[in-house]
Amino acid sequence: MTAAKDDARGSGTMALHGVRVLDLTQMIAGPYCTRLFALYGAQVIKLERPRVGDRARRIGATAESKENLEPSATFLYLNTSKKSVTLNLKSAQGMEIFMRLICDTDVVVENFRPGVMRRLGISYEALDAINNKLVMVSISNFGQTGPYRDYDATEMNLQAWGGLMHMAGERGREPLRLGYAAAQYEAGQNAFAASMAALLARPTMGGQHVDIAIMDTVMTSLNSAHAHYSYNQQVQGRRPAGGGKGTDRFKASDGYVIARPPRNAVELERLSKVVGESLPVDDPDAVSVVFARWVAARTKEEVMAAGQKAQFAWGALNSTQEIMQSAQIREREFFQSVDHPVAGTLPYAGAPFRMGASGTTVTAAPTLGQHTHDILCGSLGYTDDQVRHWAHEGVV
Amino acid sequence: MSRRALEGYRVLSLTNHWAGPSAVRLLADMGAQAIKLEATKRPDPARGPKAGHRDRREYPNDDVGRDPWNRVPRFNERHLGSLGVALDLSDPRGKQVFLDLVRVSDVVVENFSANVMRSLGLDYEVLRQVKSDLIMLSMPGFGASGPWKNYRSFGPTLEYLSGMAALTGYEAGQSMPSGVLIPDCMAAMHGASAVLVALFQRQQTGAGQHIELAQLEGTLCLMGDVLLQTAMSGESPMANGNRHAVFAPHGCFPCKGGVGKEDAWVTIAVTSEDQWAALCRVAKKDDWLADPHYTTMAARKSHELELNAGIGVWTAGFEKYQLAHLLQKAGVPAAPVLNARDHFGDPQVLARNMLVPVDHPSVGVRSYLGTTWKTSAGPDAEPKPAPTLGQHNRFVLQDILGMDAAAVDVLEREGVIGTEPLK
Repeated sequence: MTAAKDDARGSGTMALHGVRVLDLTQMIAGPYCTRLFALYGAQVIKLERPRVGDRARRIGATAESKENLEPSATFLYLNTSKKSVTLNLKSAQGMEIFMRLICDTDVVVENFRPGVMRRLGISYEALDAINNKLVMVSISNFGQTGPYRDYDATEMNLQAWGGLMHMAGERGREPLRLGYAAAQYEAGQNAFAASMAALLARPTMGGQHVDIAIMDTVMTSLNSAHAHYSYNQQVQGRRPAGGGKGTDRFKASDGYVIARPPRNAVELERLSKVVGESLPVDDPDAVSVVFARWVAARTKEEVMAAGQKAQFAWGALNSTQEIMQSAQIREREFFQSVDHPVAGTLPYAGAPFRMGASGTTVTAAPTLGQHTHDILCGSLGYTDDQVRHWAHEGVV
Repeated sequence: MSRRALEGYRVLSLTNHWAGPSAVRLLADMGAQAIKLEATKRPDPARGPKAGHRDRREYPNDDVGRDPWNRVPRFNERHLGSLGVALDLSDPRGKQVFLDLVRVSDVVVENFSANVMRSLGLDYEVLRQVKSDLIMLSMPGFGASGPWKNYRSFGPTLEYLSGMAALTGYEAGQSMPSGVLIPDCMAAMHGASAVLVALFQRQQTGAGQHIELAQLEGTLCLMGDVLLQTAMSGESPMANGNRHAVFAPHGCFPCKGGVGKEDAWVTIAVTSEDQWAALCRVAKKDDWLADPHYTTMAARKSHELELNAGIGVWTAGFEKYQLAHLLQKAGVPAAPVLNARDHFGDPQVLARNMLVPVDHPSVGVRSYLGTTWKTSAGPDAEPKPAPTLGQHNRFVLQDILGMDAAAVDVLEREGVIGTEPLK
């Protein structure tokens, strides 16, 4: 355990206060893992290539604005509460600074292609020799082992390898990718849980190297499809068009609601109370007609409230804007307003879980190299002149 | 077997369905002793009806057997490594056994609707009187405050409610669910993380705490980039099929037998000019390489429809695996769309030990998902099977709590514990 750093942010009651994380990741999976560390109070130092930085900084940038380092939503969201230090790991001086940082680091997270850390001379074995309490977490598309280890993959490819795509879309049409980065986020979460377990066990087990594969992680989201296959050779897959199980949609006055048709007499009775008229027992189509008419005369919110009161788990079909403006999300202050020097003041999604005895921190994502001087001079004790010289040489 | 990270920790699970049990399974995979608590009056609904689901395909070889509730693959997958106790918490003696268990446990996880623990007289304030440094995780759908606090949720509701489903579809304006309940899967990993963070803090300070994981909020965290984009642009992003905002070609194409029974598809994502040249080389399409419609990413993007149609004709002559390997060897990011059956024969899955056979008293040797993290501390642990209902009543009450056999006999006779669902 490293002592609490003078430059740590937030209050001493934060759960991960005093933990230092060196973040060698970019894009989504790795940064989501280290975002969770930062949210719950760890000091996360993001190491970025001088002048280039995390590739996610430029998502959405056009060819003409490639040099423009104005950060993207992906970068801004995933890198809140972190510090950015630029460092050229291919220079001898850069490597010396990295080794100094490693001595006082609890967790290092990296998502280079497998083999890159070794080529840079910073394999787990090399780092373990300097700091045997170190937890190192490697996140990659397919893991550090296996025949696909060096294959290339995008989010869509990973959803395909892992089996998610086979489940989304309609039977008879092509499989669909989920329109959000499900594979990479899942892997980031998984990596965070695994690194917390390793950190917790450090007093008895010492350091360890954790190997996370995005493909492995995606397989866990298939709702036991593998066990099903093992039990009776049944391959689960996409449903026919309009065959959404338990998710029929009905048009309300301001959009759609999702409701499950009554499954038994008890539910039918409850439904008839909600709609205020008796419903036929053996005619689901007639029930549907009555229900649709009742829904059409109400707003999504009214339908949901009435159904929930009768213990139906109905929900509204929302856009991202609608959920952000919903009464529930507003009242719980889930979004936090954060000011960023370039992007301005924007609402950021908060923390996934709320801890009774400790807080979270959301501060703006760092500009590239924003904390290079602070960390090198403040924490490591280098001089202003040294840092200026290294900046000139392209080390920082 | 090598040591595992959570050895020595005990977790009590008052969870049902998917998210809660899967969170606990992750902790069990890490070495914690997990005890699943159910009641014969109210077993986990994932066990199915006492007489079995009408759809026999839910069971091994379509056979419900004598104890259908122990034979459901979903339940047995999510409870790998747990001990099972069936205990009636509404009986004062059952409640006392539970409190005795809390006294010797580190963590309680529950995913009942908002007020159930309170109405049972078992909320955090009560439990911490019994175990002062207890960590308790509650996993409500929407949280303990706000106008929706008493609303029920299940996976599909959350996908639509959160705006997640509106991001997936063949065309803009469509909303499609994942088909697998992504919010549950995500809540499982966030839930395990929450417990681990609290255990870490307890290791530093000695204090326990209550954690609330509102599944709606956990779900929103996994689309935080899209939400911020929404705020920046003032517009809600919409579904866009398999297309990418910048890259082309970027899609899912039929292979041999594609649209038919084989359901065989390959995804191809070209993210650079080198990859585009490599794709044309593999496809032996010099005319694509020379076509002015396709010379830059932006040009290909604006002629995406015709380009995709051409690629689809070419891919239809290949097996999905064969084509994906061919393209990967040439440096093009490609992937066959795999299903569960494919995974059972996939060399990467085998190399990573991601499907492991486990022997279960009612269903025999079946395969389940393996450990999703690999560590230098040692090989994956061999998982124990999911418990049959009440399988470990005796072990937990006698060996862990030290009750004598005669007292347990009484509880069994009077139905406070049991091994068969009441109905």
